[in-house]
Amino acid sequence: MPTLETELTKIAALACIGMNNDSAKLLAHDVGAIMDFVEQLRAVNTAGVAPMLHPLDLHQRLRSDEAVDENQVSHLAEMAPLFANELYLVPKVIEAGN
Amino acid sequence: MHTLSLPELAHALQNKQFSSTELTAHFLKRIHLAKSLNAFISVDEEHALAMATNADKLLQQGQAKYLTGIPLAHKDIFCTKTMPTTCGSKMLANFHAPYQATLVQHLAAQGTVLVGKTNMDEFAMGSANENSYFGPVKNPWNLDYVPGGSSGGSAAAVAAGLVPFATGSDTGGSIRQPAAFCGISGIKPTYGLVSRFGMVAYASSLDQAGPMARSVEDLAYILNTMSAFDENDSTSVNNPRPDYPAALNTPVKSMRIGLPASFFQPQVDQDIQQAMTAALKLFEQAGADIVELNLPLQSLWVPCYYVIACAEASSNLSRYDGIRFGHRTANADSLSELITRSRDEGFGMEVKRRILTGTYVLSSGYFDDYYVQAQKVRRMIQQELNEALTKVDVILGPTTPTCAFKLGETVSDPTQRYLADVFTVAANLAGLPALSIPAGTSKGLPIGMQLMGAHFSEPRLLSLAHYYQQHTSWHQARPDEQKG
Repeated sequence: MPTLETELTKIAALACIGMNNDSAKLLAHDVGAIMDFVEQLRAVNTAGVAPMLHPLDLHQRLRSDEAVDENQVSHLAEMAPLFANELYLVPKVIEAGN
Repeated sequence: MHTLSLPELAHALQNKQFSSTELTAHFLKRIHLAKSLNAFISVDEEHALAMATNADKLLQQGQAKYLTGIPLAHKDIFCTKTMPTTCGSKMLANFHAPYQATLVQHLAAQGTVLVGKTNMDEFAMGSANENSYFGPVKNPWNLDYVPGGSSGGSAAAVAAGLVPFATGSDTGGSIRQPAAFCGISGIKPTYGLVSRFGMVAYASSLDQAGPMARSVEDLAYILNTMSAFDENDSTSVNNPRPDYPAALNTPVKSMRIGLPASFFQPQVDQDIQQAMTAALKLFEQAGADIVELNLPLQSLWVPCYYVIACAEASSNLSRYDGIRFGHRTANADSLSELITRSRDEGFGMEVKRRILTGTYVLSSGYFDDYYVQAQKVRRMIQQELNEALTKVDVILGPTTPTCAFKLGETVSDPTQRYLADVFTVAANLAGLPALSIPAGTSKGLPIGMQLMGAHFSEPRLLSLAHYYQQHTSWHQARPDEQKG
């Protein structure tokens, strides 16, 4: 059975949260305390109860499917940390020659 | 000027007793003098005075609306075009939104004057306002104590008389708990009543925006402006909105007030219990019926809330990747390293704790046992509350089990802090409206009383709370000016 700290390392990778040894220990302790706290939910008999996704149980309202001609590039460029030639810049993802 | 109610301010502005420019300058001066509270993340004096000048023109021309010329502050979770929107996080420390939140637009269209954006727990996660990247907010009643959270900056600013009113958001009590700790009034409206378009998302099935002010009467006037259908918010409910101020004087006689015995547990401070008993006596004398309630699922409110809130936070906060907007690490050789390091540097500890908890309960093997189970328990909680609210008009109880606690108190178990929300989270789980009003003091710190009602019963909640404020003076008590 994997320990919570081991599981949390995998979870952190899924959530893209970096952890070092110190923060891994602290977060494992805290998340462990939270999971102990919410454990009582599992003992509740919920047979026949439908999960509740929305407080008012309303159907998703959809907007009309209308094309709009809005150029947001300048807004997006202003918000992005690195942006050039209408593109977001990221580290190289494809190595040359492979 | 800072002691006047919204109707008094509106009357004075319209009768030229003072101008919006004078009023705005007065509040800006008070904000400057109260910097030690750390209630604001940003203040834009130049823009505020320009808005006040514009409001004065409208007042001169007889084109003013009810709130024209009155200053306000927005919690820094609402997108504004003229100021950054940080959400109390390093992740968004330099974020300038490309559009305004709908409620910001509604209040601006009234001619209100935005003076600044208030401090808050990072991404609205916290009950003490100690989780802000911009430092903790202090409680104006005692600077050694927390103001509550996550809308702690808004609560402290209103309590200290730095603005006549402010906006807040409430996912599990984030309007009501700081309102209780700071001795002001605040309402979390019914889910879907106030638009959340332009409000940074934390837990979308729980989040709701609402006003914070000194009195219930003030709340009613603000809610009239804030509450409107918004086609940009898919959860906005398209039904007619009542005139909230007009409903304030609905008679209390024969109202049925529910009193859950479980709200008076030993861990609830004795002074708070006595304050609730005194309030019940007042309502009883007015002809209200007090009905004892049994809510056996109450012990599940907080655990259910934290599973759902963390799961939704894990999903909502996945958008912060350091690429499109927000903090980006300066040191990454690969795309995955860029995203992970940006999030590691940009998020504080409480946010990471909740993202990890949320990702954990959503992960394969735990999804059904925790997340789906919590959703089922949530439905049972809602059914129990809805059924109780067929027997009574409102459910009364303390907003919090204790008054404000000291700044910097270390808690080894994070769930101990979560219990500060023990009475407030139910309204979010069930989508119900609930408000908090001042109902006494204990050792110099305010006590909050919560009233919770059925969906869209805001007029009834406001009228009952207004009756209380007409017969008590707790909402008029102010922190010592030396501290504020």
